[in-house]
Amino acid sequence: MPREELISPDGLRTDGRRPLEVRKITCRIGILPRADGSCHLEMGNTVVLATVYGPRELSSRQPFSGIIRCEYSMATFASTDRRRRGKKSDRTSVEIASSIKKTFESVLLTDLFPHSRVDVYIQVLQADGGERSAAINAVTIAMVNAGIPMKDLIISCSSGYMENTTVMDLNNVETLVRGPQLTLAIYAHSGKVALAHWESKAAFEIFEHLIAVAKEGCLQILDVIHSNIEKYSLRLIASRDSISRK
Amino acid sequence: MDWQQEGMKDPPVVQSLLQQETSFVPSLAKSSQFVAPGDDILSQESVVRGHGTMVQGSRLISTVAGLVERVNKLVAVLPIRARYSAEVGDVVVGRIRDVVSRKWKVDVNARQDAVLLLSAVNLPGGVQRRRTYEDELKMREFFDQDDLISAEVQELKQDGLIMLHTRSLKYGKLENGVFIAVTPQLVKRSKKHFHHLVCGVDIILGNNGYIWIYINESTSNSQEMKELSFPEKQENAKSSLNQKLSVIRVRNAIHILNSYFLSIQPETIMYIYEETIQREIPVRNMLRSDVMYEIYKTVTNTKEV
Repeated sequence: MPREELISPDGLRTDGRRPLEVRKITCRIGILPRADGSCHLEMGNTVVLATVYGPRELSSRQPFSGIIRCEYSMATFASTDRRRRGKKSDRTSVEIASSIKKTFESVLLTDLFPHSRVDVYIQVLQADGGERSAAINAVTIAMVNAGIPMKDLIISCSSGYMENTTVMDLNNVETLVRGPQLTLAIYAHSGKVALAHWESKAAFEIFEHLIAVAKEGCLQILDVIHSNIEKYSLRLIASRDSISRK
Repeated sequence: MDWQQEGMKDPPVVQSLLQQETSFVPSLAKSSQFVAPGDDILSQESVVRGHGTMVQGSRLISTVAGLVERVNKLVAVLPIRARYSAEVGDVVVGRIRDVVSRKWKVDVNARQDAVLLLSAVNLPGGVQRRRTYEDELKMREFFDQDDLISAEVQELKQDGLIMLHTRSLKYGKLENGVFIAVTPQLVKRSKKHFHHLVCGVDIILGNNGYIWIYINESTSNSQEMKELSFPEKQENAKSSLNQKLSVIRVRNAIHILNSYFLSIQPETIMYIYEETIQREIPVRNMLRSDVMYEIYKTVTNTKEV
């Protein structure tokens, strides 16, 4: 079977990136006025919409610290995949939702909102690889937008190994090769690992290399996300007092 | 009643319009430090940490995105947008969500529903007396589900539970007016939250970002003081069409302020109100996104992008 060349002789990838280059990130913060926090994040051609509601009333008063609920779904038009999928019954969606929930449980200060819940809804609008990373990044921004107290930002990036090269932030074509792949989420400031999701086996020699590359990708993404949050926030602060009579 | 209206159907266009406004470079925010969650807060030794901060090892870090506020040794970070966090004495507008034994659960846009005890309301008749079993049965006659009320924060429990009271003639059930929900951070705490605007409209600026707009009959034609807490169902025929239109104009003015994240105070509301009258914009056109943008540019002196 003729295999597509994933890395050209010049060392460029299928979408023209270098191996250690993340895709272009654009995010629009607070686009849904009725939600507490929302973020529309594009990482290359992967587009994710994350919505956060809460902290809000939890009907049962059992748990003393707040809880997080997370729902992940992929729009039917998001990929070329023509499988019919139920909204919530999809196994991968449930798995991603629960891993994101656990990741954020570790970073939100849930004891500051007892007897309340935070609802997170993630919708993938375009799937071009790295949906899990994009979802995590979008949720982080939406959480900040909702003003929910958290210890740190969580930033995620993927990495993979193919044709003797370690590459950063895989796209769909590179994901489909099913080589050793890693989705890593780190705490932005401490650099500790919040989530690591491995796809297929990785040889011991490339294991650390994959982690290092994914981490480097996270830091690149962090720069973009942090400056986006700052720009958005400062604009709102300035806007608040900008109204005055001449 | 028939013109009660909720802020539920805001056009999302408005917010995306705000998004496009990227060229608007903030300058005044430079005076204090901006932090995102996890960022270090620049500080000397021995500070008292306030809201929005936490200590991790030897670092003082922020837990929300906002500007660092310093008052003497107290260091706090106020989130730019967040749910309402109550303080004792706040005036709030809320919606009854549930009636349970001896108390009402009230939605006040906070992290959890506030509680209004049966013993914390003024009963009809005005006399101080014990709450009987009969009162308990008649609770739904006082405030029923989905009723809007104004109240004051009486107490904050350890776990953040908000206790309300309506033990003043100022507070009680809200009828014959318009409701709008805004970002709570846009409403500043002040001495006064019941305002009588120059245009003859009254507003209650709830600290929680819920706002009630109405025509106060007793101030417009001073009648005998009625039991404010439990007024008889008023016929809204009393207010004229013009009054209703100015109520809605005020409501739309507040909506414009909210969509562009502008501070909501009586002065700013009246500024927008007068601006739309000067431009002869009819009430029904006020929420068109191009009109809103025009007004926004005028009131903030933002130059054309």
